Amino acid sequence: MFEGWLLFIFILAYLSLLFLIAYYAERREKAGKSIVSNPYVYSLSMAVYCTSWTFYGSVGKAATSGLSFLTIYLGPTLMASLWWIILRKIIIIAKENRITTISDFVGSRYGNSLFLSALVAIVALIGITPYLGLQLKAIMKTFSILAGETKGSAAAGWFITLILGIFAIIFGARRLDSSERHEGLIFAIAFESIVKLIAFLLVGFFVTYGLFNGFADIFEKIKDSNYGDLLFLGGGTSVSFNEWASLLFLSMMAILFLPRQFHVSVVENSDVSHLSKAMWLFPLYLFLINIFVMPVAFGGLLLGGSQADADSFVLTIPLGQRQSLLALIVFIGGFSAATGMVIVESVALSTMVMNNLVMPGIFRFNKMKGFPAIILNLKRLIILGCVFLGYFFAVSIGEFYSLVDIGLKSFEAVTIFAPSIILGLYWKRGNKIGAIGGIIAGFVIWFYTLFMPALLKAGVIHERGFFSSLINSQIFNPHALFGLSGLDKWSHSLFWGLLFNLMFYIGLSIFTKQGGEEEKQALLFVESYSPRMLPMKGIYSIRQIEDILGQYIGRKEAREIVELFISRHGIKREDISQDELFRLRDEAERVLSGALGSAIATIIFEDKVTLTEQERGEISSSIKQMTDTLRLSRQELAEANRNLAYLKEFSENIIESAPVGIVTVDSSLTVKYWNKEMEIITGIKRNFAHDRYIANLLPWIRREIFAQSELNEMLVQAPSLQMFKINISPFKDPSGGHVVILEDITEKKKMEEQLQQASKLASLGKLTAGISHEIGNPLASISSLVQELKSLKMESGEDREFSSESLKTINSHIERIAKIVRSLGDFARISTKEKIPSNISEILDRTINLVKYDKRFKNVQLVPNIDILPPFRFNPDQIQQVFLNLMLNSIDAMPDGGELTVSMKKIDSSVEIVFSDTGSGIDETIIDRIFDPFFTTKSPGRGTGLGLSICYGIIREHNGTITVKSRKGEGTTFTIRLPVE
Amino acid sequence: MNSKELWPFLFLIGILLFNWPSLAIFGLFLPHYLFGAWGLFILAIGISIKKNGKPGNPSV
Repeated sequence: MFEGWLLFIFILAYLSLLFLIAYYAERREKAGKSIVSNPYVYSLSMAVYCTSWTFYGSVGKAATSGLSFLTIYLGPTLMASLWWIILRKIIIIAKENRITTISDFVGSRYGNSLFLSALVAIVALIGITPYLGLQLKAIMKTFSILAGETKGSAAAGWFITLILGIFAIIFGARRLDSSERHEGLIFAIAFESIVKLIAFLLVGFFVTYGLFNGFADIFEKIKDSNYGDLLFLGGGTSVSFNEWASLLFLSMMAILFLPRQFHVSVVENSDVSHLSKAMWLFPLYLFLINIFVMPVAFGGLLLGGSQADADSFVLTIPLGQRQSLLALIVFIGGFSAATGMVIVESVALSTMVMNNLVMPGIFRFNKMKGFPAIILNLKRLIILGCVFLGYFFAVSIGEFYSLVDIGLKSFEAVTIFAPSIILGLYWKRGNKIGAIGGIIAGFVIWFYTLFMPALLKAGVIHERGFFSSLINSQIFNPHALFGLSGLDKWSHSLFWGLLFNLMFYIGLSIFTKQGGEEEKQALLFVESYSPRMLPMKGIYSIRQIEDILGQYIGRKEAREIVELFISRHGIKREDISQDELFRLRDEAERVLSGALGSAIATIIFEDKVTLTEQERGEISSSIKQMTDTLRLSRQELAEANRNLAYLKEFSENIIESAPVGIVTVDSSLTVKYWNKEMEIITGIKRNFAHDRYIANLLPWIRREIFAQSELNEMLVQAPSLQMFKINISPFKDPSGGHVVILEDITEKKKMEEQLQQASKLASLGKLTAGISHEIGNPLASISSLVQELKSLKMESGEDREFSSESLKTINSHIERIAKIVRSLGDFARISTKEKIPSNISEILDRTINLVKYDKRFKNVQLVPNIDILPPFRFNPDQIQQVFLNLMLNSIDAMPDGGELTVSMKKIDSSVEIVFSDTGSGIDETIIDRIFDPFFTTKSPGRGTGLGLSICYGIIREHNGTITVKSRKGEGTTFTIRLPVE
Repeated sequence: MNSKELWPFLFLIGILLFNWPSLAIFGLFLPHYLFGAWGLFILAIGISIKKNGKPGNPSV
């Protein structure tokens, strides 16, 4: 036992030690030799998670419910494995956006909403109050145990609360925060973590090996006792698997969303890489501090303690064994555990209350004299208020519940933030209305199912009237909401709270729209986009920035901050650039965020900015442009990339599968693409062709063609006698280049020639009857004359004269037949492919002579009007074929005779040949199709329909034109124009 | 497996280790099982960090 006053001195001494340690750490930081910026201090500071709940409550929970206390530490261990994904993202976002509290984080995510920040602050304040009360209850109880007196314990409790409040102010509100980080506080917390770990390990070791014979001995004994089921879970025990899972989940949420955990792991983080060590160091700490929990709990029971007092076993066992020093160490350890929580939590809560509830109302009074002092004192009052709120909870409600019970209520409370934060990090659609709806729904469920029953039990509120019928109804029973019974109270509250929270968050987010600011913030958070603010052309000066800062944090502080920034960046005051001014403004806004919250800091600076209309417009459109551009998120970009890759592959497949050769060349005629068909056509492999000069690969393509700016098509014969149709078109792209399409038309050309030959023979076939008559007549005459000559004796002069005349006639007939046969032979032979200088008038004459062999020509009056023209280059056989086809068609159209006018004359640089008949004419509905292959108006067997299409092809090959004019019943006129080459 | 896949995988292993049915399977030795699995899980985190270097790429 210790005297009460002695314990107070120990408490004060310990707190003073903590203060000195904090002070030392801050001095080192100011000197640029921080002892806090390392992963070990970071990990130990996270151990503020282990409060008097761990020190006392876990033992109490182990003694009453067995192993379920482990969920409170296994949950954070599991969550630690996801820290690199979740917590790291939160830290980066918080740093980028100058976020200093969890309420700021939520508000910032959803469009910098002050209302949402305020809502989160209120929920946190109400939710964490029981947790604060838990610490104070533990301190007061253990103080009473150690001092051995219950009289005056209320006054002692009040006094301890006041001391803790004052020290919280000293640690967290000595001056208005010039930065969100408190190296001194963090170092003190890390020190406390070591103290409480050592204290617990000492008492654990004492109980396990001092009073018993080790772990095995304790577990054997407890198994054989009435408390044997404490070693098991599930059916038949006091803890179901449901409850186990719920507690595990709650503790996973708590390690992220308890305001003090957010503060130490996010706000106080100096280097995100420290997280990698903390991911295993912190769980290791939890492991070590829990090793002896069960031995102490079971040891207490085995030594005759009752489950109702199990919370204090850690203290009562050494006291009972007259180990006063150990008991004092344990008390200091427990006090350490409680103090750390109270200080950090009250500083975090006060920052939230200050930034989100108080400052929005008063920041516009910044011109008031002594405004910085007012803000500072307000913050101090709020810290005291938070601590005393916990005290009142402890004395009024806390006595009805165990420490763990009180703590779990707070765990359930902070789980309310989980959907809007976790989903808000990964789902851009999550919006402000959804977050507000979800948080309110979750809070109502929490309050109704957990907090209100506590108030009822404590007699703070009473069951009366409508309220009584409500909570005793089947639907609205707070322990079995909507008739769902059979669950433990934690699982029950968690289930309904999370269900309604998610329903409202997701439902409202889907069915309501996001504002522009929300969209921007959603993008910043989900994509962790680091906004590069535009350097403003605004009229900022160093002086102005100092003034703004000074209005809120004091002139001296403001000047120090500006001087520190200038010296750190080696800037000359008189010579500061716009970019440096912008960064100084950024630093000033960051400092104000630490003091007043990022939303207020932004508003302050926005108010201070005086921009011209044009500058506002420019900035606004730039931001809009950035936002519009940013809309293409990483995922959408990945999707676009996939589509692009698919399209590229698809296009390549098309080009590779095309039955024509495709080559692309750049402006220097270097091959850049060479498809599969080109390999087949030319036998040149793609790898060889790439980056080579096309003229070297395809020397038979004239270089000059590439100089043309328009599409060029030509027929070229390669040395291998293959015939190619080449299409060369320039790229529209300014960088230049061409696409060359090569089509092997060798076979096609062969077929065309065969077709032409067949058409020729077909034309000749039409003349057969006439020709056989033309040949038959002279042959008959020759035959007759030969017979006559055979009968002559050649004795008289008459006979000799007749013989001479007959031979002349026979010769003439033979010459005529020979001429016919020659002209037929000339026409029927396979056409030459070449254009040679020829006399077109002669060709026309020759054709007319051939046509005269057709019997039907006798009824046709030929009207020639043919100029004598000089020779020029054309294919004589092909042109003769055209003339013959057209004239035979005209004769076909005049079965009863008519007139065929054939005229030829030179017009400019062309020769015009006109065939005009007075035949049946062509119907205007079909006149556009007469040059189509296989189109014929003749009955089947009378025409192939190829004649005119071949004529058209021949004329096109000569770069000429063939046109037709006709009217039904009035005749047809074909006009051919051939360029004179 | 990159670190972005590793951590969720490790997390799921942990969920499996510290819930039903694993707890039912090891029901007779729960304290030993829980502390043993807990220690191994912490070791797994530590080894994973060491093997991956600085876990994860700079972007989140």
